[in-house]
Amino acid sequence: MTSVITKALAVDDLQLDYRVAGKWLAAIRGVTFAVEPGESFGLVGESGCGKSTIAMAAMRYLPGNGRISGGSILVGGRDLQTMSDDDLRRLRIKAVSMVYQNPGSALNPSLRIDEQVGEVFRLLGASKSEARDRTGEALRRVQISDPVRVMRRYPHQLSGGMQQRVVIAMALASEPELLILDEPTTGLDATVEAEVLDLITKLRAETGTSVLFISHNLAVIRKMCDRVGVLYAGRLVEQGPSDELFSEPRHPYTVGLLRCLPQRGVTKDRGALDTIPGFLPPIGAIPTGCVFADRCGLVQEICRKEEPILYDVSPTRVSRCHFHQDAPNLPRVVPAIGTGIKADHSVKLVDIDGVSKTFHQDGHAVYAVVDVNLEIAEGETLALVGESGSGKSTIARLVLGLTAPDHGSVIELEGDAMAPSIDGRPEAQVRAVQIVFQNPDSALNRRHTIKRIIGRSMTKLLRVSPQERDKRMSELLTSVRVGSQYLTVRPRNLSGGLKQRIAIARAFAGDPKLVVCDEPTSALDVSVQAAILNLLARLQADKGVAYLFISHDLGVVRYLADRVAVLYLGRLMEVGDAEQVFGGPNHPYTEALLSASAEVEGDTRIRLHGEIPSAANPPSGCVFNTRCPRKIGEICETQEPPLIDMEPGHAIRCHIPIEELRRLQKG
Amino acid sequence: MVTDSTDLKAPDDLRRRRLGLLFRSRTFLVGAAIVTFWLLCAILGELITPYDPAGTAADILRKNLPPSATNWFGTDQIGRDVFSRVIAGARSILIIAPAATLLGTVLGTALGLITGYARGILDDIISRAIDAFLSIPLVITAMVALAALGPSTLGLIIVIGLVFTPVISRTVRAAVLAERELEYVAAARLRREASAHIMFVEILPNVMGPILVEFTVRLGYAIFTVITLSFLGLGLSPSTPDWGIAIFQHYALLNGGIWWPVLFPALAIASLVVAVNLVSDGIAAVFEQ
Repeated sequence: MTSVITKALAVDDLQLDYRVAGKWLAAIRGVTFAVEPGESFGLVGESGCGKSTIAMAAMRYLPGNGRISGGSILVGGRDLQTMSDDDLRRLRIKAVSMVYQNPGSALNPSLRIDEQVGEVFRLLGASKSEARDRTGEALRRVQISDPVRVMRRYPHQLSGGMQQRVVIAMALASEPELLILDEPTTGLDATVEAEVLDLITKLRAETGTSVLFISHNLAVIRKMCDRVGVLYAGRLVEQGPSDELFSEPRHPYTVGLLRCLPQRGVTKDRGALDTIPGFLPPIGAIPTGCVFADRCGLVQEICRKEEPILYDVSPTRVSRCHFHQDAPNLPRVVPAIGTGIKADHSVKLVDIDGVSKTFHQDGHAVYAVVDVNLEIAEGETLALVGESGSGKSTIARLVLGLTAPDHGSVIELEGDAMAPSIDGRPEAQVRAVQIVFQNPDSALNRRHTIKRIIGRSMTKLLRVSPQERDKRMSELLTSVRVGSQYLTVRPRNLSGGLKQRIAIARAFAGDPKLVVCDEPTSALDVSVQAAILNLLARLQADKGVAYLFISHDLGVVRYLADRVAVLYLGRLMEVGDAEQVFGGPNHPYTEALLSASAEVEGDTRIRLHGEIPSAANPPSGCVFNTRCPRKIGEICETQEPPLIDMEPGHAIRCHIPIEELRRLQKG
Repeated sequence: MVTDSTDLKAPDDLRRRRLGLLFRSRTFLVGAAIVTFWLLCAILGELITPYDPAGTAADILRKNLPPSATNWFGTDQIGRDVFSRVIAGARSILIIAPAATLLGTVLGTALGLITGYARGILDDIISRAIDAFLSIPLVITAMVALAALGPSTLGLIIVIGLVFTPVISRTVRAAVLAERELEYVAAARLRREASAHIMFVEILPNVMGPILVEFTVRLGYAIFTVITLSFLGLGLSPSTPDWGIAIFQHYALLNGGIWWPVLFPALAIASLVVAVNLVSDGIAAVFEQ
């Protein structure tokens, strides 16, 4: 152990309050941890547990209504809280840097990249021309291949991944002792995320910078950090080396969090996901006893009376649990029983036949969806995967009738063609196709009560009498597991998970046959996500509804999907049963997506470089040829490969013969 | 299966919380106090004035008297008590300005909802027409219209209301443009709600905040516009106790050192406009939180 002076970051018994409606509420209570020089330390926990608050406090960036009421934070032995403003400024220039979640808002939109990055070097004392040279160097270091071109651009002209590289370049410009990364890859596509994480690993090896890494994503933390602290309600509940902590968690909260994630090999028919019951205590609530007691399956008398100390689990690990040795035996909340129903693909519900969508923007044609053929059978889940800009959401909007497809496209429901716009569709078709949106905050009218939101859909779609409506509404609420006491409430008084249940109830109000789920859990915490996925699986089994499921999270897709369609630049690259797509052989693009999702760590990894080309000017031949790691030659640039059936139900659009793909992807 | 019942966050009624904030805002309270004072004057009028604001036949003998214990604000050029006329003058302005603003807000909201929600060609045509209309100074438009209609309270209300409509419709349109992209609107389309339902039942309640703020801001301008028009001699009959008319009738006397028939109505105008703006700022601050 190093002394406090030499630690990159030493947080000791930190107490932090926020002033809410005139009262000081405790947000962080007695958190202690340290980041050793050269170490990468992770903080995990669900939203509201205090991760970002600690990061802000470490930079002395707390908002005006926050105060540190006890304990200390030392950066390289220096106390920021008592420092003069000048010293603090110098420290922020030289010793500590921070990278935030949203690079778009971290960069000044009206400054060009060279001015923006150059400013950092100017502050460090470089001359104008020197700053320019060093900016180019800094950008090259974060693997921007054409720095001269990038330097002349404004932030909005760069993609999200590129923006985050620029932010990282700025953060590393001063070679800081400590780099704080607050959800640095959360808004990025999985392929870009993988690249940025690789970059951070590489830069860390080069510079030896200490890192405080904050994320809600357990897989990312596991991959990136030497040691991890788990936060819950402003308390550190477990801490230790990340390999040990994630493979043998010793606090019921950590155990619960890990169980919420869909495990490999578990699908909806074979097992339900476990969840963590109950809710995070509100900020400021100080329970006597253990903070987690109300939600813990191992809770005993003593847990409610006496707060556990940080028990030493091993020389390097601590856990704030009276029964830490029993933590691995935490009883399941949800029985591990799956729906037991395998979708049979026999009855075709939706037929998407030769569907294209071209948008016209400033005289350019943007080919968002190009000649896509897909079928959705009754009661099955078809997942659409692909990076942002691949056309997933556009296909959903075409099926819903919110956007009209190009001429010649055919979308059939039970054999009947559907009008391009919702306004031209008969009532039965309107009823049959509904949607659950990503963000329940904007999907529910915030001025309407829950009763009005669900009731209106029923009246409008089913044309039922008020009595019938009320009867159906209470049945529906029961089936999404929401109590009827919420009927008179407006959405803002509900938690994120409850709001999403209401949104699901609304989608089911008219007894639909197909529900589009557009990233329905990506705005939610993992424990809430697990409950929502269970609910979707259960509703599907009970009502025989089909899902068109859009997600960037392949773990979630693997759990819920019966079939998977992979899209790139609006074209279908691969489609097949979930087992086939996850088992391989795959299209090289699918292979890259699978390898980017952090859960398949250790497999032969291929990386996509560069950016998704513009849909206004797609590459010739195979559209993926500019980024394909397995490109075989000229044919890829000149000839678009056909979608070939490799085995029943599994088709791939690639020039490489199937046997060759199988051989290449085996290792 | 478990029903989540512990999930109801402490019932925080937003409306009540906003009212609470409003009544703790000093800006709002000061503004509201002054507006309330003028409202009382407008309602009670002759009941509380020391003299008859319309004047009596004998008044002419006491014209242009400076402020004194008997006539606090002095008397005007035909001997009427300025103090009484300032009190009574609150009535015309506090009827015309709010009524005109309300008319403008209702029409402007409808227009803003339609242009913001429909977009496309309809929006282009209406928006360009509004641009053209707004390039002419409002007072001039109003003057021309009033000259054609002839002076009356109703005429003033309609003209000012119509003149304000395009301005308000722009604010509402901007709010609607942001709102229509939210998914709850798509959800309404997916159950095939009529456009009118989506505009007035789904979107309108969500843009009430900016509309309310716009209403109070416009109210300040409306007071100004009414005063300007009556100062220019357009609008009300010259015998009405009205601040604008009083200034119009007496400003020529300023050179002769007779300042009281002009200063006190002017102060009244200033206090009312400032008060309305304070109220408006207070409300805006609460909605922006």
